[in-house]
Amino acid sequence: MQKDNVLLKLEHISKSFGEVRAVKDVTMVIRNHEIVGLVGGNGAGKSTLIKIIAGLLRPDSGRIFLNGEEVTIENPRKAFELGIYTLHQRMEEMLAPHHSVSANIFLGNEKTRPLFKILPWPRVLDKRKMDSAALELLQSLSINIDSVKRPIISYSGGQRQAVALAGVIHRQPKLLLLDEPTAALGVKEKFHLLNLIKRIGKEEKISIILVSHNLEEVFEVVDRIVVLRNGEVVGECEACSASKEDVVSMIVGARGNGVSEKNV
Amino acid sequence: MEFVKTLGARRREILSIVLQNVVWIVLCIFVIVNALITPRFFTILNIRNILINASVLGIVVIAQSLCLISGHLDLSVESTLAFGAVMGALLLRNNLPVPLAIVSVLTSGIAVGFLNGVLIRKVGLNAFVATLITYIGVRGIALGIVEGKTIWNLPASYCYLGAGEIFNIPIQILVLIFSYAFFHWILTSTKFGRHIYLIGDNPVAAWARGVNLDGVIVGVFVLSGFLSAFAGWMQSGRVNSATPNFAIGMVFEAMASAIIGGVSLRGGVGSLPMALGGVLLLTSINNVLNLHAVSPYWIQTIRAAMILVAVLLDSFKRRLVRYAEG
Repeated sequence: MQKDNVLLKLEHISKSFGEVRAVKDVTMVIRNHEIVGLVGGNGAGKSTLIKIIAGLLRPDSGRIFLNGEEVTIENPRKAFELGIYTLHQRMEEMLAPHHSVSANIFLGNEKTRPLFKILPWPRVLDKRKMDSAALELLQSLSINIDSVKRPIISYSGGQRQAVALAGVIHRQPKLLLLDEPTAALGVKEKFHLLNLIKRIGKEEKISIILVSHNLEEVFEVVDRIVVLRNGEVVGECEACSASKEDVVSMIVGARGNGVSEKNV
Repeated sequence: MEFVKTLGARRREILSIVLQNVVWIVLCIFVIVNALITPRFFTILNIRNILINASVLGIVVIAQSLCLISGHLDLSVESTLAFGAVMGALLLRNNLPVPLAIVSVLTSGIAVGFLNGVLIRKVGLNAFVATLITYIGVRGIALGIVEGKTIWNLPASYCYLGAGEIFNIPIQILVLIFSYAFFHWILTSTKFGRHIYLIGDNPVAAWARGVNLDGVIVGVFVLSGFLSAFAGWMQSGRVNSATPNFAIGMVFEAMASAIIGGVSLRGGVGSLPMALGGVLLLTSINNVLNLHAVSPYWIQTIRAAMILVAVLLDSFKRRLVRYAEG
């Protein structure tokens, strides 16, 4: 029934908060190794949809399929086990600031070795192995960090975002949800991070959903754009074939033209 | 604090290393100065005295530091200490064999710690409130089971931990050193220890990356209860008696030592060797005031001043390592 290269499929997903219907009957598909941009104005339902996929919210109705199998994502832990990772606007908030870069990359997934070679237990942290693996990973992603032993707080915002991203890549996710990853960054750091995202999508074979207000960066990075308005999918297009004007008119809708254009 | 920005990277590094070890540096200066000006301070007998006085508090400080590093705090340590001591003594009074009494003491500590952990993680109480309940309640149980009385004359084998010696070295001092070395190793070299630090530093990040918060935090409180009850056993062995009024106010001394040693109340920062420095510094100051026959009541004021300085140094230290904007 499912096409082979479909990773995630949402079917008729709806979610209301009291009177407000935040997401209405959304059906969409994410393919393997694809970067999808999710765009829309304020209140279009982007964040709600992302939170449903990440397990932060339960949909009122609808079904979610991962690799063709129906799944219920009841909490972020479950999403995590399924290989769905989320990084929010300030990814650095998902780091332990007083710990080293290497401790953060291996957070929750520490490498250990047996204390005595002949016995399987007790096991101790293999710091040397983690440090060298962290350094290797950062170099392969061309992230500019001079020492993996220094604490996170001694690095800049962009470097912290990159470390957070590296920590997630290290877990080899199937699907990466990026919720406005560049919102808190300066111009140069934004550029670096976008390049990083683009490269990760291509080289690490990870599907990515990128939520953004900024059409420039969406066009820069993604393969396909899905447009949400008032909780509904109003359009879909390949990034290379569509023009920015088309997308803008889809975002604001025919009636609202010109009124909320500054949102995008 | 403006001059921090103008310091070179190398000087910054040196300064931050100095600040990280500031307790031991202060302790060394303190010992050297007092060896010169305080008669009878720098004698083997007195040093031994200081270490003996530091041992019970030292064990409780390990318990407290584990909780503080994980971003929590445990007010119940002193009550657990008294409860363990009284419980052991009461069981021995009722002719229970010594090994069984010891096991019961340690189990009572584990039980209190487990209760703390469950109240925090499963019932969802704030660590302060949860341990306030056990702080009051467990002291109440200790008072209740012996009706406020003191139990004297414990078996010599039970007192060995608190009063015994090996090659003229009191066992409590050896236990103190061994405990610090062992728990420092746990904190820095095992996954469990790393997780204690990470949870204290950023619980949300640890949780999101799949660290078992319930397990680690309940584990920390169980260890804290265990160590406190152990300290209770040691204390009752040292004075060959047990009273439910043991260690009243020790939780504040323990927190003061940990903070002076650089363990952050915000969690995730600090180390046991530094906390030990804090314990020794506080105990030595106490000792010197005794030798000079200063009224012991003044120690409170001095302690307060030291905590203030320690906290100021801590925030200064944070500024040094933080990424300098612009």
